[in-house]
Amino acid sequence: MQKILFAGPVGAGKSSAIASVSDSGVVHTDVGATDQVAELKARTTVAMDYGTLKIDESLTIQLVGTPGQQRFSFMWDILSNGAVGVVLLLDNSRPDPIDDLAVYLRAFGGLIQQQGGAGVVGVTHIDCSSTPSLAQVHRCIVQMGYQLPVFEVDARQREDVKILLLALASELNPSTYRRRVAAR
Amino acid sequence: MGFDQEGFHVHGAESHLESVMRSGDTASFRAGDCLLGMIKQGFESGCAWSIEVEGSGVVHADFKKGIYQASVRSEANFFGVNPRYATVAPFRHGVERGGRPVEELLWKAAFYGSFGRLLEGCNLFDVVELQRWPNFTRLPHSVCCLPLCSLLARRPSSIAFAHRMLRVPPGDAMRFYSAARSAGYLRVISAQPDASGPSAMLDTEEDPSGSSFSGFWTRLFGRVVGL
Repeated sequence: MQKILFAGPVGAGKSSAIASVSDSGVVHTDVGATDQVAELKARTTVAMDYGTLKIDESLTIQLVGTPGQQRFSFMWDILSNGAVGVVLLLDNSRPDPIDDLAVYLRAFGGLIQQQGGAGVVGVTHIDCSSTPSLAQVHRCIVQMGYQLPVFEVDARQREDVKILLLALASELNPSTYRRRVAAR
Repeated sequence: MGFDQEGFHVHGAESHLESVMRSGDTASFRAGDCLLGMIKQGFESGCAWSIEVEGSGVVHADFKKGIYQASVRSEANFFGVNPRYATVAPFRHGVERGGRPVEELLWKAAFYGSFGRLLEGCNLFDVVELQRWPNFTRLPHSVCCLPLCSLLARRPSSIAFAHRMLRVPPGDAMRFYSAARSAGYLRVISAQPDASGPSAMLDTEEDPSGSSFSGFWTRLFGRVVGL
């Protein structure tokens, strides 16, 4: 089975995004949140979220949500193994979404840049905070050496998550594929 | 020809779509033929305007602050209207915080005003490069727009090449190009001086995945479209 990762900081909407498009019931590995996370939400993912998207009788895509807390970052490498693409979700209501972007691009940049890999970025909670703007997020992505699609997203809305997946599929399509790093 | 077949609200004697088809002007359109011209004037003015189309709604745009708010029943009806049915007035109250980026109006006006035609000044053989993906979760588009963006972001190409490579219907390709150029998402690397109309585009068998390859990723694309 092919695998698509959903990555990003705590509360960005990874679990919600998977749930909005998964064919099967989403398996969560979450527990009651403690420490600072408890101020954001009641539960937090400690291993991964798991959903599926059935393409046809012979093909099913795994939708895997990574834990958001950086102390579980060892799981990011494990879960990246065998993934073909990553959806990075950023929470615009967090104190420094640009710093979050840098953290997750560094962590998953190898997957994005590998032969046959790709990434897209979804920015959530823009209704809570309009800055940074999508243009600012895109500029940072280019400065870091990438050229990725960036969209405003409500992770609970299937139509928004659908756009993320369509963009990812487009980036992975061999007809458009030629890996290049954005010009600095 | 890739005209949008949506039913447009009629103002006056005929709908804009019907007048376009009756006139036989199928090759290209000018910004002044739709709300795009009005919106571009708004950008130049740097003022706050209300643009109203009776029966369709109103857009309050503060071009200085860079935000707008819309109260429209149907964006296709509103932005696809003949501009003679739109009224513009200064909007003294200003747009409240929380409005949308005003650049979105450029895309919407060109997208809905295109009716599958090419914006005047654009050439199908211009070599262009996508600078940034349009925010498709909040902008009108066809699914063909996404593979077009992916290709044009990775390798500067012409729309004529891209539409054939990805088997995108000509009308969709021209509508995308008109909207993307109007909204500033495309950088023209090499402009072609000679006008070339739809005859330069070959009819293509529509492939919703945007690719002639029936591989894994086209199957994924097709599945996601069906979500």
